[in-house]
Formats: sequence, structure tokens, C-alpha cells
Amino acid sequence: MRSARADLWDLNQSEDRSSPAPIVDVRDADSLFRELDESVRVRGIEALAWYHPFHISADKWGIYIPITSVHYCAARWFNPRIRPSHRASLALTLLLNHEVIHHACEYMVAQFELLIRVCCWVPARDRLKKAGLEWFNDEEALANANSVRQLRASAPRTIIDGVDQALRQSPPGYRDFPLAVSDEGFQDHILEVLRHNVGIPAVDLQTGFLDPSFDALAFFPDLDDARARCPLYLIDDSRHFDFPPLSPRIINCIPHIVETNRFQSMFRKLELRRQEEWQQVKMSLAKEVPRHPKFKKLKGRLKGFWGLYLNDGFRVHIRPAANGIWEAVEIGSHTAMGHG
Amino acid sequence: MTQAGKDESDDKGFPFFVVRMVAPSSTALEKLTSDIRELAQANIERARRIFRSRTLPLLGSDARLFNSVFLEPLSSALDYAILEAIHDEAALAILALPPSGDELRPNLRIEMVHAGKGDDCRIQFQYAGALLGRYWCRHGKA
Repeated sequence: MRSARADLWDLNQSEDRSSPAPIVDVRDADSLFRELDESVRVRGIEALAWYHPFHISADKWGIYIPITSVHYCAARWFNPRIRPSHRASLALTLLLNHEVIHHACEYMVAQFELLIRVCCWVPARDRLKKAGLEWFNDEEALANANSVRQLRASAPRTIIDGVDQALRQSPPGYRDFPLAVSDEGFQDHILEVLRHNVGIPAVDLQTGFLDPSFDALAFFPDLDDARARCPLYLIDDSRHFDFPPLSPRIINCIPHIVETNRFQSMFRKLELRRQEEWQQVKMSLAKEVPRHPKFKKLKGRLKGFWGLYLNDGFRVHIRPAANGIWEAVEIGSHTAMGHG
Repeated sequence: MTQAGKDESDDKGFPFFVVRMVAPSSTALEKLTSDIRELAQANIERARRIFRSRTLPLLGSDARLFNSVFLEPLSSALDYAILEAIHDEAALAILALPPSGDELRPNLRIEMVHAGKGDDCRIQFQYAGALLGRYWCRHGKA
């Protein structure tokens, strides 16, 4: 299951327990989890999900997450009293927030490669291998710190503490994330990743890279943007196990939208050209969703809604309803929708 | 081979010094009162970040690569960061660098890593050419 954007997914509990997969895994869920316990202890979160770099593959790059890993995180890292679908959603978000850092770091290095016209990312990877290292500790600490930071923004303390404790059982680098959780630590780790990747060629070319006035953070992308530009692959490998069924959904297009009464009442008050724009947007949504930031998941009091941005600051709030149908709930200008 | 050709083939890339930060030891920190120790530890962490920001990681080692022969400016910045907001004289004496016995070699918050052992005082260098291996290229020539 592939999405061109790692921010366009939805995860719900499914009613469908039928159609068992033809190939049956010889392991049961418990032995799979025990195997994963050991793998996570040795290889950190990368045992559960991984990022395939665009320096290696032009068409297969992106974030890969097996659904069994989502079940594993949901079961091992979150309180069982939390609703299973919510736990799964938290788990998937946590894995994504780790992996998106690897994409953001690669993107940052690529920007620098374009600037100094020297290959940096591959040599840095080779230097790691030569030093007998499998990963760069600061990058893994940064990635885990991002998962914790993002969780802090939306989850209660008890949930964060559970994840915090689980991540501290990881191997070196991964478990050093507490140093990167503060804003200062986070920036320091981003810069250390950059120094590792581009520092030697940049200094060799006398670019002033280590001068205190050099603003290297400007090369690091906004993480929402990074998520929206990175492909996501959800690997459905869970059907051989007796897990609570999940229905992960990648949102590539929205073919069916129904307009609620509230929406229609707001819509009738709009100018004709705005009404026509909505009709056109609806047609294009049936083929594909717009690029970030024209379409994004909303947070805070609008959690559960998706924002669709029209011209001149107008926007539409939509949300998934049953059977693949979406509801358009509100339409209006930024201020009319209660913002700013 | 011409002189120019020889110079070109001798080019090993930018020479980096291999350096370490000299932070107050844990024994020294133990001697501080708890509130000053906490402050000193936060200061040391900040100094470590400054040190990281002005040097490059050297994989597989706790030492780092530094791009200048002038250690004093960075050493002063680290010293300032470590002692910042500490006004207690006894604490300052514990955290301060000991006076140097040699005028030509002042004590610094950074030490150069030596290539040899014992009396062998040769300084360790790492050249960009060797660090980057087959990926090393100079401006305009691959």
C-alpha cells in the first residue's frame, strides 16, 4: 500500500475478520513479539520500520512500515487500557516520526550537496561502515527524540512516560534521545548530523562551514513538509496473525464527498466564483488529493478533520465518514472558520 | 615530473587537527556544592555543544577534527561557557584550568591528540583526502 505522502493515512479498527491469507506464518503473535523484542533491543526502531534513501533508489525511496510493527508497538509501548485503534494510531505516528527524520536529514544533506557540488551522503555512509558502525548515533537519537517531542504535543504524560521507558531499552544512539529532546539539544543533533555528512568536504572546500555565523539549520526542512513529500509504504503482513484487525488507509484520492447541511448553508452564502472553485476542487479530488500544504490533517480542536485550502484564504473542512465516503462539514474564509 | 605536478600529487586535502575538549573532571565536580555542581554540569553541557559546533566528528573515536591551528579563541569560548554565572571563588578555583608551567604552551580547554605515545609529541593530523578516500575531489578537478 503506497502513498506519495507520509501524512495522508488513516487507521481504524476493521470489522473484517474474514478471508484469511493463503500463506500462514509459522509463528504465532507471541513468538513474533518475542523476536521483535530482541531485534528492537539490538537494532532499535529500525527493526520495526525503515527509511529507504533517495540516494539509493529513485523510485522505491520512502518510509516502510509493516503493520505487524504497528501491532507490536501498540501492544508493547502503550497502556492496554487505551482503545486498540487509538494505540495503533499512536504507534504508527511514533514510527513515522522517527523515520521522517531520516528523510529530513537526507534532504538536508542533498541540499548541501547541490550547494557545494560535491557528493557527501554516500561517502559519509561509507565512512560509517569503515569505522565498523551501523548507524550514526546522533541521527538515531534525533529520530527517537522527534517521536517523543511530537508525542508530547498531543498525548498525556502517562503515555509519554511509557514510550520514554521503552525507547531507553534501545541500543546506543537510539537510547541517547533525552539529550535531543529540548529545542537546543534537537538543533545540536541536527547540526551534528550535518557535520558528519558534509563537514569534511565543506571544510576542505573552505566554505566557512564551521564559522559560528554559518546558518546550517536553514538546510533542515520543516518536518510537516518533509512528511508530506516523503512516500509511505504500509506493508500489510499482519493477516497471518490473530491481531485485532486494522484497516490502514492511504488517502490518494477522495472520490465521494457528501455535503452536510451546515456546509450547504455556508456554501450558499459564498460568491459564485468561490462556489465554482469548490465544484472544480471536488472533481480534482476524485482523481488525486492536492499537494501539501493545500491538503493536510488538522490538529488541536479540529483533530479528525482535514483542511482543504482554496484560493484567497478560503478553506474547507472535510472528514472521513463510513464506507469510503467523506463529509464536507464547513467552508469559508480563514476568519469565518474561527481562525485568526 | 614538474614541480607543479609534484605539488599536485602531494596534495592530501585539508589537514585537520585531532582534538579533545578538556572538561573539569568528575572528581572536581564532586568537590562542588550541589547547587553549583548542577550549574557547572549545565555549563559543561553547553560548552560541549559549542565544542561540537566548531569541530567535526571523528568516527569511532571520542576525539574530533578541528580546522585551525589557533586553539585559543575556541578554548576561551569554552572556558567562558563553563564558568558562566559561577561567582563562588572556591568553585571557580576548582573549575579553572591550572596555570601552565610553560609560557609557550598555555593550558587550554582543548588538547591536541598526539600521534605517538610517551615522549613522542607529534601531533595527530587527519587529511581530508584520506578521510574521504575515493570520494575526495578538489575544486574543479575530480
